[in-house]
Amino acid sequence: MVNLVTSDNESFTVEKAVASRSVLIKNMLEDVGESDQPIPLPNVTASVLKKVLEYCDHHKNEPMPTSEDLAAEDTRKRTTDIGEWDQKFIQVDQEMLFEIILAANYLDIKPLLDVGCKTVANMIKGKTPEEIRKLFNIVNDFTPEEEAQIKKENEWAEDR
Amino acid sequence: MSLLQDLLKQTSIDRRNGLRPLTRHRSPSPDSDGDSELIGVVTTPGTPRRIASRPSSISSSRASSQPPSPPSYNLPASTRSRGPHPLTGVSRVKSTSSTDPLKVLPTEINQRIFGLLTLRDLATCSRVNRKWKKSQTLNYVWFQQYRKENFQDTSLPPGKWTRRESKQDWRQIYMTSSRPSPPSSARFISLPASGIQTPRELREEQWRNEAAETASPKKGAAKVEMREMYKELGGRMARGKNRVKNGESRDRGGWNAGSDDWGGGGGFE
Repeated sequence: MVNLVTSDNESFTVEKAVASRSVLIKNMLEDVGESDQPIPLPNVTASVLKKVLEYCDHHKNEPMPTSEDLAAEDTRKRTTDIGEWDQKFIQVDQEMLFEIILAANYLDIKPLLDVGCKTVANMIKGKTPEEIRKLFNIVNDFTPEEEAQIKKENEWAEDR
Repeated sequence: MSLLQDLLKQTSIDRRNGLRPLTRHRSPSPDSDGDSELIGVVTTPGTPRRIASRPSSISSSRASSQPPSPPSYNLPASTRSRGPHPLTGVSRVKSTSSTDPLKVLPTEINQRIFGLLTLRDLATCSRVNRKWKKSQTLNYVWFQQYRKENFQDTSLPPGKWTRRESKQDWRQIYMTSSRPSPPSSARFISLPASGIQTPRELREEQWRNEAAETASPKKGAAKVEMREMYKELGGRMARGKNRVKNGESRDRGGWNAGSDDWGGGGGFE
């Protein structure tokens, strides 16, 4: 078992197979060897780590993605399909979604980072500029003339 | 390994050493907002760190019509709430926390996210607000799309992203390069069917037209006369002038002085 301590000082005890979904933790464990020392995770809060460990637990028996898998994923970059379980898992509010992405990036959990990025991309897809502004709470600071100008520049891509 | 990768690696190493991600430390002033800056570019000493990405015409029109900075910039960092939030985006409009991915997420993640979008969606993104339009993250994604489209081969390594690339607007370059070209008759209506003209031919045609227009008023007469002379000389006069100039500057520079005999004699007058 591995003991993880979050930035807000909560500690989680999980199976090694679960914690090792994080390449960061996996490498740490390999470097340190067998040890009961708790692993501090100063970038992750308890609420986020709980969610991340839920993901790791569900995927603990899958083989770790190899470097070939990751290279292959790069070539079919445009696909934004997400597995059924993952899709349900990632249905969280936006702040949590961004926190999960940041944690997956820090903990080096590529498949989770992937799910997070695809989810954000899917949120943007097919929306109008106004809908995107609403989605991310963004203020439109264009003048009407500027807006019209960019729309005109983009005309060709928009009917594609 | 490319420069960009080196830098990205550096950031992730920093993070591993226990530094909190940059985004959490960002103070809300526009200057701390890194995305409008260059990505993965080493600044050479003595050059300004930022590029002026906003044309002056825009900033002047903006000063007259709008407050100098978008309101979202003025939020104190403490107002960014950390607790769990109700789910729907709409109910969060009142919330002061920033949910703009370009502000909250690190560059390399945003590059991934926006790299997943279709061209149509990418184009829509440039219409969201100023920050998104001038975003170097989006510019980088456009750059990659442009390369994909123009080199076809997806196995090529990602293009080198240097200061020079980052100064160009790749959305516009992409749009112009891949837009089906308009019927040539619309654009080159005054040109002969071949469509190929030397600069001199172009000038002469323009002059013929101008000469026809200005034939009666005396004003244009002297100009047209000079042009006739130029045509007789076959462009030699202009070249001669250039040589004089070059010769002088070489002399001033103090090198090649005195051995300038191939310079056409211009320098010795």
